[in-house]
Amino acid sequence: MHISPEQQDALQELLNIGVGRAAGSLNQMLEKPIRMHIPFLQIGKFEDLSQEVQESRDTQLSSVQLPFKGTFSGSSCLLFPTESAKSLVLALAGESEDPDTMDSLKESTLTEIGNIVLNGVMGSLANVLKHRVIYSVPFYQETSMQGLVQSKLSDTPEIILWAQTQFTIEEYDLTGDIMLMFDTSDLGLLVMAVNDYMHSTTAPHVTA
Amino acid sequence: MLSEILQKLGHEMDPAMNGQDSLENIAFNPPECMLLDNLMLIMDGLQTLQAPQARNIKLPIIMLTADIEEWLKTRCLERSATTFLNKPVKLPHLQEA
Repeated sequence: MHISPEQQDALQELLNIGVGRAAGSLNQMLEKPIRMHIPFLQIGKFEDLSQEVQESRDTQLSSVQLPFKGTFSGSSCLLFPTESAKSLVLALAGESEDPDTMDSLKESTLTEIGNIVLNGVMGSLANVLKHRVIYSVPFYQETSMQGLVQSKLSDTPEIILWAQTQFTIEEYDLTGDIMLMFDTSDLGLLVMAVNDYMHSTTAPHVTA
Repeated sequence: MLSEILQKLGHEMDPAMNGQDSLENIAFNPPECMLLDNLMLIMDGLQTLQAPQARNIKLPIIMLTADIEEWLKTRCLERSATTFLNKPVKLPHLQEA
């Protein structure tokens, strides 16, 4: 399945809208400025997609994953280096002296943050494209990028569309990534939806 | 976390892990208001919304979900949700609802 540069630009614009919504939600939760980087898109082999995967393959990450299906299916992930995740939980939920309580607080807080941020990205995309997305319950996992990739290998097609954006919250010295993986078996439907969106936004206006 | 905040504000809370649990809680101890998420295991919010009505239990239901899709909002309001709010929600907005 081929995706033209124009379609890729349109999809990137849609992702920008979603990422903007996610940044707004994070900003509302933290009341601190969030700096979002421009998302990039790639189509390719899941294992080889990002140079960053190779560079940071052993870095320990806190991840929240929100699988989705519908017109298009795949998985969205919110990824933090573990230290960033800790700062975020402290900022939002405070600290508990009991390590078990702290672990549970960390898991529930990050899962809810992931739920809100990833729904913001995917929901914006779905609303603009006028297609439904059905989510599975989000889940939290501590893993390396390599572990994440390997855990997805069995249920992910060999070729996927991959979108990733990085954000920083300077106040907490915190960085994170939002990553979307679309199954390319549905890529045709996604491209058609993007085409419809492009035509609807470029159609000439008729005045009486 | 929300449950704790609302408790501190003087509300009595009866948290449930999923829609099925919440229906058991409602049958045992009917609340004045139900706060319902959509993404839950076993029985999601949309499925849960219809259950109180089917059992002739009338209570205000506030949907509070991270899902911002328009179709979900429409469907929830059609299925007897009193209010539909998106997370993150400001406490005054929730109290107003």
